[in-house]
Amino acid sequence: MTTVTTAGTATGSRRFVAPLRGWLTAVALIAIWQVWTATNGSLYFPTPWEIVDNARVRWFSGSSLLTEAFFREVTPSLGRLAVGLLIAWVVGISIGVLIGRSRVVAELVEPLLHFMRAMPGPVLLPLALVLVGTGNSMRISLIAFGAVWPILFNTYSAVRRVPVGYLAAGKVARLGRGATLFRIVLPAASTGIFAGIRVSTALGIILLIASELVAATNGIGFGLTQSQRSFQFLDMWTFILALSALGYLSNLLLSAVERVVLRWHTLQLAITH
Amino acid sequence: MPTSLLEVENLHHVYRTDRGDHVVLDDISFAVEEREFVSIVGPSGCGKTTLLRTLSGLLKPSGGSVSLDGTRIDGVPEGLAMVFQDYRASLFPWRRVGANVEFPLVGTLGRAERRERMRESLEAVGLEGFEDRYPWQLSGGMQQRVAIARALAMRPRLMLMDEPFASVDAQTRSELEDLLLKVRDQFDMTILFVTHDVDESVYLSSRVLALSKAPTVRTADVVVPLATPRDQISSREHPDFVTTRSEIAQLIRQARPGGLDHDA
Repeated sequence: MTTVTTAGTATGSRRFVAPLRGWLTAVALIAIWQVWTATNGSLYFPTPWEIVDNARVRWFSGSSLLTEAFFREVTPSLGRLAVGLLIAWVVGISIGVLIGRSRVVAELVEPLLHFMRAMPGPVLLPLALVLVGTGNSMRISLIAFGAVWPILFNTYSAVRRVPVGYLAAGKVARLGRGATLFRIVLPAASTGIFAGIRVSTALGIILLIASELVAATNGIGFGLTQSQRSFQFLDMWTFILALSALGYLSNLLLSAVERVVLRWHTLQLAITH
Repeated sequence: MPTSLLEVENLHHVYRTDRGDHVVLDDISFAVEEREFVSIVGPSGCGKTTLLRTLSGLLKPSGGSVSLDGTRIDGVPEGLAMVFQDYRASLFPWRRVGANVEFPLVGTLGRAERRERMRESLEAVGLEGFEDRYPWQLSGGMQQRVAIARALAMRPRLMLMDEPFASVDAQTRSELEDLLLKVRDQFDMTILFVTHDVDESVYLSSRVLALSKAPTVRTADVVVPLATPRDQISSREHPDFVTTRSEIAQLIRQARPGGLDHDA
Protein backbone atom coordinates (compact mmCIF):
# COMPACT_ATOMS: atom_id res chain seq x y z
CA MET A 1 0.00 0.00 0.00
CA THR A 2 2.93 2.30 0.67
CA THR A 3 3.84 2.35 -3.00
CA VAL A 4 0.32 3.35 -3.94
CA THR A 5 0.68 6.56 -2.02
CA THR A 6 4.04 7.36 -3.59
CA ALA A 7 2.50 6.96 -7.04
CA GLY A 8 -0.40 9.11 -5.91
CA THR A 9 1.65 12.03 -4.66
CA ALA A 10 3.85 12.03 -7.75
CA THR A 11 0.88 12.87 -9.94
CA GLY A 12 -1.18 14.48 -7.19
CA SER A 13 -0.71 18.15 -8.02
CA ARG A 14 -1.20 17.58 -11.73
CA ARG A 15 -4.32 15.56 -11.11
CA PHE A 16 -6.04 18.56 -9.56
CA VAL A 17 -4.67 21.43 -11.61
CA ALA A 18 -4.97 20.01 -15.12
CA PRO A 19 -8.73 19.25 -15.08
CA LEU A 20 -9.36 22.61 -13.45
CA ARG A 21 -7.66 24.37 -16.34
CA GLY A 22 -9.74 22.29 -18.75
CA TRP A 23 -12.96 23.34 -17.04
CA LEU A 24 -11.88 26.97 -17.25
CA THR A 25 -11.81 26.76 -21.05
CA ALA A 26 -15.24 25.13 -21.09
CA VAL A 27 -16.74 27.76 -18.79
CA ALA A 28 -15.27 30.57 -20.91
CA LEU A 29 -16.69 29.10 -24.13
CA ILE A 30 -20.13 28.62 -22.59
CA ALA A 31 -20.06 32.21 -21.35
CA ILE A 32 -19.30 33.45 -24.88
CA TRP A 33 -22.08 31.26 -26.24
CA GLN A 34 -24.48 32.61 -23.62
CA VAL A 35 -23.67 36.26 -24.37
CA TRP A 36 -23.77 35.72 -28.12
CA THR A 37 -27.13 33.90 -28.17
CA ALA A 38 -28.70 36.26 -25.61
CA THR A 39 -27.81 39.37 -27.65
CA ASN A 40 -28.62 37.69 -30.96
CA GLY A 41 -32.08 36.44 -29.93
CA SER A 42 -32.23 33.95 -32.82
CA LEU A 43 -35.05 31.45 -32.86
CA TYR A 44 -32.68 28.66 -33.90
CA PHE A 45 -30.11 29.30 -31.19
CA PRO A 46 -31.50 29.42 -27.65
CA THR A 47 -29.02 30.36 -24.90
CA PRO A 48 -27.23 27.51 -23.09
CA TRP A 49 -28.94 28.60 -19.92
CA GLU A 50 -32.36 28.11 -21.53
CA ILE A 51 -31.31 24.67 -22.79
CA VAL A 52 -30.11 23.49 -19.39
CA ASP A 53 -33.19 24.91 -17.70
CA ASN A 54 -35.44 23.22 -20.23
CA ALA A 55 -33.70 19.90 -19.55
CA ARG A 56 -34.17 20.43 -15.82
CA VAL A 57 -37.85 21.24 -16.06
CA ARG A 58 -38.51 18.54 -18.63
CA TRP A 59 -36.69 15.62 -16.99
CA PHE A 60 -35.59 16.47 -13.46
CA SER A 61 -38.50 18.31 -11.86
CA GLY A 62 -40.63 15.30 -10.90
CA SER A 63 -41.91 14.60 -7.41
CA SER A 64 -39.04 12.14 -6.93
CA LEU A 65 -36.62 14.02 -9.19
CA LEU A 66 -37.24 12.25 -12.51
CA THR A 67 -40.32 13.24 -14.48
CA GLU A 68 -42.64 11.07 -16.49
CA ALA A 69 -41.14 12.58 -19.65
CA PHE A 70 -37.73 11.24 -18.59
CA PHE A 71 -39.09 7.71 -18.47
CA ARG A 72 -40.74 8.19 -21.86
CA GLU A 73 -37.94 9.97 -23.68
CA VAL A 74 -34.64 8.98 -22.07
CA THR A 75 -35.04 5.64 -20.28
CA PRO A 76 -35.87 3.62 -23.44
CA SER A 77 -32.64 4.82 -25.03
CA LEU A 78 -30.59 3.91 -21.96
CA GLY A 79 -32.11 0.44 -21.92
CA ARG A 80 -31.42 -0.16 -25.61
CA LEU A 81 -27.86 1.05 -25.27
CA ALA A 82 -27.20 -1.06 -22.19
CA VAL A 83 -28.63 -4.28 -23.63
CA GLY A 84 -27.07 -3.72 -27.06
CA LEU A 85 -23.63 -3.04 -25.59
CA LEU A 86 -23.87 -5.95 -23.19
CA ILE A 87 -24.58 -8.31 -26.08
CA ALA A 88 -21.73 -6.76 -28.08
CA TRP A 89 -19.29 -7.19 -25.19
CA VAL A 90 -20.22 -10.77 -24.39
CA VAL A 91 -20.19 -11.86 -28.04
CA GLY A 92 -17.12 -9.77 -28.90
CA ILE A 93 -15.02 -10.97 -25.97
CA SER A 94 -16.06 -14.60 -26.49
CA ILE A 95 -15.25 -14.67 -30.21
CA GLY A 96 -12.14 -12.55 -29.68
CA VAL A 97 -10.79 -15.01 -27.11
CA LEU A 98 -11.73 -17.98 -29.27
CA ILE A 99 -9.92 -16.77 -32.38
CA GLY A 100 -7.08 -15.33 -30.31
CA ARG A 101 -6.44 -18.69 -28.70
CA SER A 102 -6.91 -20.89 -31.72
CA ARG A 103 -4.90 -20.24 -34.86
CA VAL A 104 -7.05 -22.68 -36.82
CA VAL A 105 -10.31 -20.89 -35.99
CA ALA A 106 -8.65 -17.54 -36.68
CA GLU A 107 -7.59 -18.62 -40.15
CA LEU A 108 -11.08 -19.89 -40.87
CA VAL A 109 -13.04 -16.80 -39.88
CA GLU A 110 -10.69 -13.82 -39.98
CA PRO A 111 -11.31 -12.71 -43.60
CA LEU A 112 -15.05 -12.98 -43.06
CA LEU A 113 -14.87 -10.95 -39.85
CA HIS A 114 -12.84 -8.22 -41.54
CA PHE A 115 -15.39 -8.05 -44.35
CA MET A 116 -18.28 -7.78 -41.92
CA ARG A 117 -16.49 -5.18 -39.86
CA ALA A 118 -16.03 -3.00 -42.95
CA MET A 119 -19.79 -2.58 -43.16
CA PRO A 120 -20.81 0.61 -41.41
CA GLY A 121 -23.50 -0.18 -38.84
CA PRO A 122 -26.23 2.18 -40.13
CA VAL A 123 -26.05 0.52 -43.57
CA LEU A 124 -27.77 -2.45 -42.04
CA LEU A 125 -30.67 -0.35 -40.80
CA PRO A 126 -32.95 -1.04 -43.77
CA LEU A 127 -32.14 -4.72 -43.60
CA ALA A 128 -32.72 -4.81 -39.85
CA LEU A 129 -36.07 -3.11 -40.39
CA VAL A 130 -37.12 -5.87 -42.75
CA LEU A 131 -35.70 -8.74 -40.76
CA VAL A 132 -36.30 -7.79 -37.16
CA GLY A 133 -39.09 -5.27 -37.57
CA THR A 134 -39.45 -1.86 -36.03
CA GLY A 135 -39.42 -2.85 -32.37
CA ASN A 136 -36.79 -2.68 -29.67
CA SER A 137 -35.08 -5.82 -30.89
CA MET A 138 -34.24 -4.12 -34.18
CA ARG A 139 -32.52 -1.24 -32.39
CA ILE A 140 -30.75 -3.51 -29.93
CA SER A 141 -29.46 -5.84 -32.64
CA LEU A 142 -28.25 -2.86 -34.66
CA ILE A 143 -26.30 -1.53 -31.67
CA ALA A 144 -24.94 -4.96 -30.86
CA PHE A 145 -23.91 -5.65 -34.44
CA GLY A 146 -22.15 -2.33 -34.88
CA ALA A 147 -20.48 -2.21 -31.49
CA VAL A 148 -19.23 -5.79 -31.51
CA TRP A 149 -16.31 -5.18 -33.89
CA PRO A 150 -14.00 -2.95 -31.86
CA ILE A 151 -14.38 -5.13 -28.80
CA LEU A 152 -13.93 -8.30 -30.84
CA PHE A 153 -10.78 -7.17 -32.62
CA ASN A 154 -9.28 -5.54 -29.55
CA THR A 155 -9.81 -8.72 -27.56
CA TYR A 156 -8.43 -10.79 -30.42
CA SER A 157 -5.19 -8.85 -30.69
CA ALA A 158 -4.79 -8.54 -26.92
CA VAL A 159 -5.19 -12.31 -26.52
CA ARG A 160 -2.72 -12.92 -29.33
CA ARG A 161 -0.21 -10.68 -27.58
CA VAL A 162 -0.35 -12.48 -24.23
CA PRO A 163 3.37 -13.20 -23.58
CA VAL A 164 4.26 -16.85 -24.12
CA GLY A 165 6.12 -16.70 -20.81
CA TYR A 166 2.82 -16.26 -18.93
CA LEU A 167 1.34 -19.26 -20.72
CA ALA A 168 4.44 -21.36 -20.09
CA ALA A 169 4.27 -20.47 -16.39
CA GLY A 170 0.65 -21.64 -16.42
CA LYS A 171 1.57 -24.90 -18.11
CA VAL A 172 4.31 -25.61 -15.59
CA ALA A 173 1.72 -25.02 -12.85
CA ARG A 174 -0.39 -27.62 -14.70
CA LEU A 175 -3.34 -25.30 -15.16
CA GLY A 176 -6.39 -26.54 -17.02
CA ARG A 177 -8.02 -24.74 -19.95
CA GLY A 178 -10.52 -22.81 -17.84
CA ALA A 179 -7.97 -21.72 -15.25
CA THR A 180 -5.58 -20.65 -18.01
CA LEU A 181 -8.31 -18.54 -19.55
CA PHE A 182 -9.51 -16.86 -16.37
CA ARG A 183 -6.25 -16.55 -14.45
CA ILE A 184 -3.83 -15.78 -17.27
CA VAL A 185 -5.35 -14.95 -20.65
CA LEU A 186 -8.15 -12.60 -19.58
CA PRO A 187 -6.15 -10.62 -16.99
CA ALA A 188 -3.21 -10.32 -19.38
CA ALA A 189 -5.54 -9.11 -22.15
CA SER A 190 -7.64 -6.88 -19.88
CA THR A 191 -6.08 -3.58 -20.95
CA GLY A 192 -6.80 -4.30 -24.61
CA ILE A 193 -10.30 -5.51 -23.79
CA PHE A 194 -11.03 -2.30 -21.91
CA ALA A 195 -9.85 -0.19 -24.83
CA GLY A 196 -12.33 -2.12 -26.98
CA ILE A 197 -15.13 -1.52 -24.47
CA ARG A 198 -14.54 2.23 -24.63
CA VAL A 199 -14.57 2.40 -28.41
CA SER A 200 -17.62 0.15 -28.68
CA THR A 201 -19.53 2.35 -26.23
CA ALA A 202 -18.93 5.48 -28.28
CA LEU A 203 -20.01 3.60 -31.39
CA GLY A 204 -23.04 2.21 -29.59
CA ILE A 205 -24.35 5.70 -28.86
CA ILE A 206 -24.09 6.70 -32.53
CA LEU A 207 -25.94 3.55 -33.55
CA LEU A 208 -28.56 4.09 -30.85
CA ILE A 209 -29.44 7.48 -32.28
CA ALA A 210 -29.37 6.23 -35.87
CA SER A 211 -31.75 3.44 -34.94
CA GLU A 212 -34.11 5.85 -33.19
CA LEU A 213 -34.35 8.15 -36.18
CA VAL A 214 -36.30 5.51 -38.08
CA ALA A 215 -39.74 4.19 -37.17
CA ALA A 216 -39.35 4.96 -33.48
CA THR A 217 -42.00 6.03 -30.99
CA ASN A 218 -39.75 7.03 -28.11
CA GLY A 219 -36.16 7.61 -27.10
CA ILE A 220 -33.68 10.47 -27.41
CA GLY A 221 -33.22 10.06 -31.17
CA PHE A 222 -36.97 10.09 -31.68
CA GLY A 223 -37.32 13.20 -29.50
CA LEU A 224 -34.59 14.88 -31.52
CA THR A 225 -36.28 14.39 -34.88
CA GLN A 226 -39.76 15.10 -33.51
CA SER A 227 -38.76 18.45 -32.03
CA GLN A 228 -36.84 19.37 -35.17
CA ARG A 229 -39.82 18.58 -37.40
CA SER A 230 -42.19 20.57 -35.22
CA PHE A 231 -39.80 23.55 -35.06
CA GLN A 232 -39.28 23.16 -31.29
CA PHE A 233 -35.67 24.27 -31.45
CA LEU A 234 -35.22 24.64 -27.72
CA ASP A 235 -36.33 21.01 -27.28
CA MET A 236 -34.11 19.93 -30.13
CA TRP A 237 -31.10 21.51 -28.45
CA THR A 238 -32.12 19.87 -25.20
CA PHE A 239 -32.04 16.44 -26.83
CA ILE A 240 -28.64 17.24 -28.29
CA LEU A 241 -27.47 18.15 -24.79
CA ALA A 242 -28.87 14.85 -23.50
CA LEU A 243 -26.86 12.96 -26.11
CA SER A 244 -23.61 14.68 -25.24
CA ALA A 245 -24.30 14.06 -21.57
CA LEU A 246 -24.92 10.38 -22.31
CA GLY A 247 -21.59 10.09 -24.11
CA TYR A 248 -19.72 12.01 -21.45
CA LEU A 249 -21.24 10.17 -18.49
CA SER A 250 -20.78 6.70 -19.99
CA ASN A 251 -17.13 7.49 -20.57
CA LEU A 252 -16.81 8.75 -17.02
CA LEU A 253 -18.41 5.56 -15.71
CA LEU A 254 -16.11 3.36 -17.77
CA SER A 255 -13.03 5.26 -16.64
CA ALA A 256 -14.06 4.76 -13.04
CA VAL A 257 -14.54 1.02 -13.54
CA GLU A 258 -11.28 0.81 -15.45
CA ARG A 259 -9.41 2.62 -12.70
CA VAL A 260 -10.56 0.03 -10.19
CA VAL A 261 -10.13 -3.07 -12.35
CA LEU A 262 -6.85 -2.05 -13.98
CA ARG A 263 -5.35 -0.28 -11.00
CA TRP A 264 -2.22 -2.42 -11.23
CA HIS A 265 -1.77 -1.26 -14.80
CA THR A 266 -2.17 2.45 -14.04
CA LEU A 267 0.34 2.15 -11.21
CA GLN A 268 2.72 0.16 -13.34
CA LEU A 269 2.64 2.83 -16.05
CA ALA A 270 3.22 5.56 -13.48
CA ILE A 271 6.28 3.76 -12.15
CA THR A 272 7.92 2.23 -15.18
CA HIS A 273 7.57 5.22 -17.52
CA MET B 1 17.50 -51.79 -11.66
CA PRO B 2 17.33 -48.53 -9.74
CA THR B 3 15.92 -45.72 -11.84
CA SER B 4 17.34 -42.22 -11.90
CA LEU B 5 15.16 -39.24 -11.10
CA LEU B 6 15.40 -37.96 -14.65
CA GLU B 7 16.27 -40.18 -17.55
CA VAL B 8 16.75 -38.89 -21.07
CA GLU B 9 17.10 -41.43 -23.83
CA ASN B 10 17.97 -40.81 -27.46
CA LEU B 11 16.26 -37.44 -27.43
CA HIS B 12 15.89 -36.06 -30.89
CA HIS B 13 14.14 -32.94 -32.08
CA VAL B 14 13.60 -31.45 -35.49
CA TYR B 15 12.02 -28.09 -36.29
CA ARG B 16 10.25 -28.15 -39.61
CA THR B 17 10.78 -24.92 -41.51
CA ASP B 18 9.92 -24.02 -45.10
CA ARG B 19 13.61 -24.24 -45.93
CA GLY B 20 13.76 -27.81 -44.78
CA ASP B 21 14.15 -29.67 -41.54
CA HIS B 22 16.40 -28.21 -38.88
CA VAL B 23 17.81 -30.76 -36.50
CA VAL B 24 18.23 -29.16 -33.08
CA LEU B 25 18.73 -32.13 -30.80
CA ASP B 26 20.48 -35.17 -32.16
CA ASP B 27 20.35 -38.28 -30.05
CA ILE B 28 20.94 -36.97 -26.54
CA SER B 29 21.02 -39.31 -23.58
CA PHE B 30 21.83 -38.68 -19.97
CA ALA B 31 20.50 -39.27 -16.49
CA VAL B 32 20.20 -37.08 -13.43
CA GLU B 33 20.24 -38.64 -10.00
CA GLU B 34 18.33 -37.38 -7.03
CA ARG B 35 19.93 -34.36 -5.27
CA GLU B 36 22.35 -33.70 -8.09
CA PHE B 37 22.93 -30.19 -9.36
CA VAL B 38 23.53 -30.63 -13.05
CA SER B 39 24.39 -27.79 -15.38
CA ILE B 40 24.00 -27.88 -19.10
CA VAL B 41 26.38 -25.56 -20.94
CA GLY B 42 26.75 -24.94 -24.61
CA PRO B 43 27.32 -22.17 -27.11
CA SER B 44 24.41 -19.90 -27.92
CA GLY B 45 22.25 -21.35 -30.65
CA CYS B 46 22.72 -24.88 -29.48
CA GLY B 47 19.52 -26.55 -28.43
CA LYS B 48 19.74 -25.68 -24.71
CA THR B 49 16.33 -24.08 -24.44
CA THR B 50 14.77 -26.67 -26.71
CA LEU B 51 16.26 -29.40 -24.55
CA LEU B 52 14.86 -27.84 -21.39
CA ARG B 53 11.45 -27.38 -22.97
CA THR B 54 11.30 -31.04 -23.90
CA LEU B 55 12.46 -32.08 -20.44
CA SER B 56 9.72 -29.99 -18.84
CA GLY B 57 7.06 -31.44 -21.08
CA LEU B 58 6.31 -28.04 -22.65
CA LEU B 59 7.54 -29.33 -25.99
CA LYS B 60 6.98 -32.77 -27.41
CA PRO B 61 10.26 -34.09 -28.84
CA SER B 62 10.34 -35.59 -32.33
CA GLY B 63 11.90 -38.74 -30.94
CA GLY B 64 13.33 -40.37 -27.86
CA SER B 65 11.97 -40.27 -24.35
CA VAL B 66 12.15 -38.37 -21.08
CA SER B 67 11.26 -40.16 -17.88
CA LEU B 68 10.77 -38.69 -14.46
CA ASP B 69 10.97 -41.25 -11.66
CA GLY B 70 10.76 -44.05 -14.20
CA THR B 71 7.54 -42.73 -15.73
CA ARG B 72 7.70 -41.48 -19.27
CA ILE B 73 6.45 -37.91 -19.39
CA ASP B 74 3.74 -36.61 -21.66
CA GLY B 75 2.98 -33.00 -20.80
CA VAL B 76 4.28 -31.22 -17.72
CA PRO B 77 4.71 -33.80 -14.94
CA GLU B 78 3.93 -33.32 -11.30
CA GLY B 79 6.80 -32.39 -9.01
CA LEU B 80 8.49 -30.21 -11.59
CA ALA B 81 9.04 -26.47 -11.41
CA MET B 82 10.68 -24.16 -13.85
CA VAL B 83 12.40 -20.78 -13.63
CA PHE B 84 12.63 -18.86 -16.86
CA GLN B 85 15.26 -16.44 -18.07
CA ASP B 86 12.87 -13.55 -18.60
CA TYR B 87 11.26 -12.89 -15.23
CA ARG B 88 9.37 -9.94 -16.71
CA ALA B 89 7.48 -12.25 -19.04
CA SER B 90 6.82 -14.94 -16.48
CA LEU B 91 5.68 -13.10 -13.34
CA PHE B 92 2.16 -11.75 -13.66
CA PRO B 93 2.10 -7.93 -13.39
CA TRP B 94 -1.54 -7.89 -12.19
CA ARG B 95 -0.78 -10.08 -9.20
CA ARG B 96 1.10 -8.96 -6.13
CA VAL B 97 4.28 -10.80 -5.20
CA GLY B 98 2.46 -13.03 -2.70
CA ALA B 99 -0.26 -13.92 -5.19
CA ASN B 100 2.37 -14.66 -7.83
CA VAL B 101 4.10 -17.09 -5.50
CA GLU B 102 0.80 -18.72 -4.52
CA PHE B 103 -0.29 -18.95 -8.13
CA PRO B 104 0.78 -22.56 -8.88
CA LEU B 105 -0.91 -23.74 -5.66
CA VAL B 106 -4.38 -22.35 -6.36
CA GLY B 107 -6.75 -25.25 -6.77
CA THR B 108 -4.45 -27.79 -5.15
CA LEU B 109 -4.03 -26.37 -1.65
CA GLY B 110 -6.27 -24.58 0.83
CA ARG B 111 -5.96 -20.87 1.43
CA ALA B 112 -4.18 -21.09 4.78
CA GLU B 113 -1.71 -23.65 3.54
CA ARG B 114 -1.03 -21.57 0.44
CA ARG B 115 -0.26 -18.51 2.50
CA GLU B 116 2.07 -20.46 4.73
CA ARG B 117 3.98 -21.90 1.78
CA MET B 118 4.12 -18.47 0.18
CA ARG B 119 5.60 -16.92 3.35
CA GLU B 120 8.08 -19.74 3.73
CA SER B 121 9.20 -19.50 0.11
CA LEU B 122 9.55 -15.73 0.19
CA GLU B 123 11.54 -15.98 3.39
CA ALA B 124 13.84 -18.55 1.80
CA VAL B 125 14.74 -16.09 -0.97
CA GLY B 126 15.09 -13.18 1.47
CA LEU B 127 11.91 -11.38 0.45
CA GLU B 128 9.83 -11.68 3.60
CA GLY B 129 7.45 -8.75 3.91
CA PHE B 130 7.34 -8.10 0.15
CA GLU B 131 4.13 -10.02 -0.57
CA ASP B 132 2.00 -6.91 -1.02
CA ARG B 133 4.29 -5.31 -3.58
CA TYR B 134 3.84 -5.75 -7.28
CA PRO B 135 6.68 -7.52 -9.12
CA TRP B 136 7.37 -4.47 -11.31
CA GLN B 137 8.05 -2.40 -8.20
CA LEU B 138 11.10 -4.57 -7.52
CA SER B 139 14.57 -4.69 -9.06
CA GLY B 140 15.44 -7.34 -11.63
CA GLY B 141 17.33 -9.46 -9.13
CA MET B 142 14.42 -9.31 -6.68
CA GLN B 143 11.97 -10.25 -9.41
CA GLN B 144 14.03 -13.32 -10.24
CA ARG B 145 13.96 -14.18 -6.53
CA VAL B 146 10.17 -14.01 -6.66
CA ALA B 147 10.26 -16.38 -9.64
CA ILE B 148 12.47 -18.75 -7.64
CA ALA B 149 10.10 -18.46 -4.65
CA ARG B 150 7.19 -19.36 -6.93
CA ALA B 151 9.06 -22.47 -8.03
CA LEU B 152 9.91 -23.32 -4.41
CA ALA B 153 6.27 -22.97 -3.37
CA MET B 154 5.52 -25.99 -5.54
CA ARG B 155 8.00 -28.02 -3.46
CA PRO B 156 9.38 -29.55 -6.64
CA ARG B 157 11.53 -32.63 -6.75
CA LEU B 158 13.15 -31.33 -9.90
CA MET B 159 13.70 -27.68 -10.67
CA LEU B 160 14.57 -26.71 -14.21
CA MET B 161 16.23 -23.35 -14.73
CA ASP B 162 16.66 -21.74 -18.13
CA GLU B 163 19.55 -19.24 -17.93
CA PRO B 164 17.86 -17.68 -14.90
CA PHE B 165 20.63 -15.21 -14.12
CA ALA B 166 21.46 -14.12 -17.66
CA SER B 167 19.68 -10.78 -17.45
CA VAL B 168 20.94 -9.43 -14.11
CA ASP B 169 24.15 -7.60 -13.31
CA ALA B 170 27.29 -9.41 -12.15
CA GLN B 171 26.98 -8.53 -8.45
CA THR B 172 23.34 -9.60 -8.28
CA ARG B 173 24.23 -12.67 -10.21
CA SER B 174 26.71 -14.00 -7.67
CA GLU B 175 24.25 -13.21 -4.87
CA LEU B 176 21.56 -15.20 -6.67
CA GLU B 177 23.98 -18.08 -7.28
CA ASP B 178 24.68 -18.39 -3.57
CA LEU B 179 21.00 -18.01 -2.76
CA LEU B 180 20.23 -20.85 -5.14
CA LEU B 181 22.78 -23.14 -3.49
CA LYS B 182 21.29 -22.28 -0.11
CA VAL B 183 17.67 -23.00 -1.03
CA ARG B 184 18.68 -26.18 -2.81
CA ASP B 185 20.05 -27.55 0.46
CA GLN B 186 17.11 -26.20 2.42
CA PHE B 187 14.47 -27.75 0.16
CA ASP B 188 16.42 -30.82 -0.85
CA MET B 189 15.87 -30.45 -4.59
CA THR B 190 17.43 -31.75 -7.72
CA ILE B 191 18.33 -28.94 -10.10
CA LEU B 192 18.98 -28.92 -13.80
CA PHE B 193 20.47 -25.58 -14.71
CA VAL B 194 20.98 -24.31 -18.24
CA THR B 195 23.57 -21.62 -18.84
CA HIS B 196 25.98 -20.40 -21.49
CA ASP B 197 28.47 -19.41 -18.80
CA VAL B 198 31.05 -22.12 -18.12
CA ASP B 199 32.26 -20.46 -14.88
CA GLU B 200 28.77 -20.33 -13.51
CA SER B 201 28.13 -23.97 -14.35
CA VAL B 202 31.30 -25.12 -12.59
CA TYR B 203 30.66 -22.95 -9.55
CA LEU B 204 27.12 -24.19 -9.02
CA SER B 205 27.11 -27.80 -10.10
CA SER B 206 28.06 -31.22 -9.00
CA ARG B 207 28.15 -32.26 -12.65
CA VAL B 208 28.35 -30.40 -15.94
CA LEU B 209 27.06 -31.59 -19.29
CA ALA B 210 28.44 -29.81 -22.32
CA LEU B 211 26.54 -29.56 -25.56
CA SER B 212 27.80 -28.86 -29.06
CA LYS B 213 26.29 -26.49 -31.60
CA ALA B 214 23.18 -27.65 -33.39
CA PRO B 215 22.57 -30.38 -34.36
CA THR B 216 23.33 -30.78 -30.70
CA VAL B 217 24.95 -33.80 -29.16
CA ARG B 218 26.27 -34.22 -25.67
CA THR B 219 30.00 -33.76 -25.82
CA ALA B 220 31.07 -34.02 -22.22
CA ASP B 221 29.92 -35.19 -18.83
CA VAL B 222 32.26 -33.77 -16.23
CA VAL B 223 32.02 -34.28 -12.49
CA VAL B 224 32.99 -31.13 -10.61
CA PRO B 225 35.49 -32.10 -7.92
CA LEU B 226 34.92 -28.99 -5.76
CA ALA B 227 33.89 -29.32 -2.14
CA THR B 228 30.65 -27.86 -0.80
CA PRO B 229 29.62 -25.37 0.48
CA ARG B 230 31.11 -23.21 -2.21
CA ASP B 231 32.43 -19.72 -1.85
CA GLN B 232 32.48 -17.05 -4.54
CA ILE B 233 36.12 -16.23 -3.93
CA SER B 234 37.91 -19.31 -2.60
CA SER B 235 36.01 -21.82 -4.76
CA ARG B 236 36.70 -19.86 -7.90
CA GLU B 237 40.40 -19.64 -7.04
CA HIS B 238 40.74 -23.33 -6.33
CA PRO B 239 42.99 -25.19 -8.81
CA ASP B 240 40.24 -27.76 -9.36
CA PHE B 241 37.87 -24.99 -10.42
CA VAL B 242 40.40 -23.65 -12.89
CA THR B 243 41.22 -27.03 -14.45
CA THR B 244 37.57 -28.13 -14.63
CA ARG B 245 36.61 -24.85 -16.25
CA SER B 246 39.29 -25.10 -18.92
CA GLU B 247 38.49 -28.74 -19.53
CA ILE B 248 34.86 -27.92 -20.24
CA ALA B 249 35.64 -24.84 -22.28
CA GLN B 250 37.97 -26.89 -24.44
CA LEU B 251 35.41 -29.65 -24.92
CA ILE B 252 32.85 -27.12 -26.06
CA ARG B 253 35.27 -25.50 -28.48
CA GLN B 254 36.55 -28.74 -29.98
CA ALA B 255 33.29 -30.52 -30.35
CA ARG B 256 31.46 -29.28 -33.39
CA PRO B 257 29.76 -32.18 -35.01
CA GLY B 258 29.21 -31.32 -38.61
CA GLY B 259 31.21 -28.17 -38.05
CA LEU B 260 32.96 -28.51 -41.39
CA ASP B 261 30.03 -29.62 -43.49
CA HIS B 262 27.67 -27.31 -41.61
CA ASP B 263 27.29 -24.86 -44.48
CA ALA B 264 25.62 -27.42 -46.72
